Amino acid sequence: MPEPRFQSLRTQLREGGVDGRYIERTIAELRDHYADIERSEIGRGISPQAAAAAAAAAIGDERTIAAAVLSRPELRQWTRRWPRAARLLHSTALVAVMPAVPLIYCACRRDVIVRWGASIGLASLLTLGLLLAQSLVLMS
Amino acid sequence: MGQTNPPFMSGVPELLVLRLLARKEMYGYEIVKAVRVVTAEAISLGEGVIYPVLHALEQKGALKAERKPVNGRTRVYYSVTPKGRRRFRKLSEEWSRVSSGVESALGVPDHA
Repeated sequence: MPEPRFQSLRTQLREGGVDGRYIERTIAELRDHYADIERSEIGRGISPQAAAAAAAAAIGDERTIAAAVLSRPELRQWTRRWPRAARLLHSTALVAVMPAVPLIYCACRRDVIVRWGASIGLASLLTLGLLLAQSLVLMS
Repeated sequence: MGQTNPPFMSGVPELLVLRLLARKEMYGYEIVKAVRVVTAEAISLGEGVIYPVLHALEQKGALKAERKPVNGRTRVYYSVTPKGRRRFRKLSEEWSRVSSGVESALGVPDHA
């Protein structure tokens, strides 16, 4: 099977939600299979072009292979096999993570927060000092 | 050669694959050739569609896949696990039951 057809098969499987491991394994094993048929045909004295055509015909077209893979739900990603469970888990995870968002945000921007905190603290101290000095002057 | 994988063949590829791999470990191309030989070319698995069958059996724990280096390249060899042997026995019993039922139906005279 020529390379563009392997690519087309990969795209069809990806769009069908097949687990990435099985996509790559299917493609790799089909490539080996194709090379085995080609080699065997050449060994029988057939021209390389005819051997390639025979190998492509024996392997079958990518739509048939994709349909065979897609008919096996166990080869699909779990999010495609159990979409309700995936949606539920996704929502639960979002709700669980939400209260932690401000903390995570602060932890990620801690250098900015420390700088701002220090600046505000210093400004407060300075203001307090000035107010204290002013009240001392007024009292004297 | 007949049609590849006609609709009534459901479950047959699994049965044949498990039977062949119970004898010795094989890779995809070898399995397809072996199926042709043992069934005297009566059954021809679509060569490209053997892999979903193998991967599904592996996913169910009936087969074990192992990548092995052979002549400077690697091949994925499949072998049957104990779970696969149990599955083969079950499928084989089911097949015997179905085929004997069909045979007896075919043997019934037309006027019966």
